[in-house]
Amino acid sequence: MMMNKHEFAAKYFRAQEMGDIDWIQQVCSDDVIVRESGRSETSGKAGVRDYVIALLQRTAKRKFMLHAVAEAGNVLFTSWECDVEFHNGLAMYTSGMTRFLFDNDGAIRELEVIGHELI
Amino acid sequence: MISDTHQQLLQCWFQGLEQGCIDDLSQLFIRYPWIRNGGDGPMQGSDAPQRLLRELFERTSSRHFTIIDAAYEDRQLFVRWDGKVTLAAGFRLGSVTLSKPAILNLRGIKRFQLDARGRIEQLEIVHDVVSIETDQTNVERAA
Repeated sequence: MMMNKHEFAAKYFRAQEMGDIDWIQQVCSDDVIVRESGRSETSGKAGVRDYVIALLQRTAKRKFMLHAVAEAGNVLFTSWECDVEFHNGLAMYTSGMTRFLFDNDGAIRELEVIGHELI
Repeated sequence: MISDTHQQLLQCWFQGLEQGCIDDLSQLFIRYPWIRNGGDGPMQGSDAPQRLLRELFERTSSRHFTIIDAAYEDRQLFVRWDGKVTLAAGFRLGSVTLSKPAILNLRGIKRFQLDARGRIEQLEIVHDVVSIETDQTNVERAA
């Protein structure tokens, strides 16, 4: 991964907004582990794809606002807020934290998303 | 990699939680901190730490935490943790009441926003229940 981790975080959440599955898969390692609140753990590029597809199936629009970011070594933490619009037009606000653990090649090896309940 | 000061703060925090030290933990905060725990609405004020901690210590009879990793940048200290807490008998889980203690395995992230002196201005907690160690014999249906 050539960009710094702050740039990476901005691009990652932009990709989630755009539903850019290919980009998100591309920045993950082949053996990435994905953990998200309320979903079973998945792994590999297929697991990442399932995670993003599930997000797109649940929500029509997503607008993330990064609240705080910190990195140390191969780990990057983000705290975010998100305006969500569902396919039925209902809009809600949610927030949570995402942790990225990178391998030595700069690819995501662990992706953990832990959210507050929709508020 | 985080500084010794921040490592010490995290050790102090989690040890305090394990030992149930409300007074020691409360002293880590500024006078009017902001706290948000899970899906609960945010709390702010001089008694917010005590309210958070008292509720946790009333619900749980033991707590054990493991720090997985942490990062600090621009006054923001994040920590990813695993936890094992024992819910006290009598605790209500949805429509059932525990007649014996049950163990919850948790994973979570905390974000501490620190002031210039290293005191906690904001504390945000998110966590998931990974598993519950219980059986049908230690729950009673609520009346």
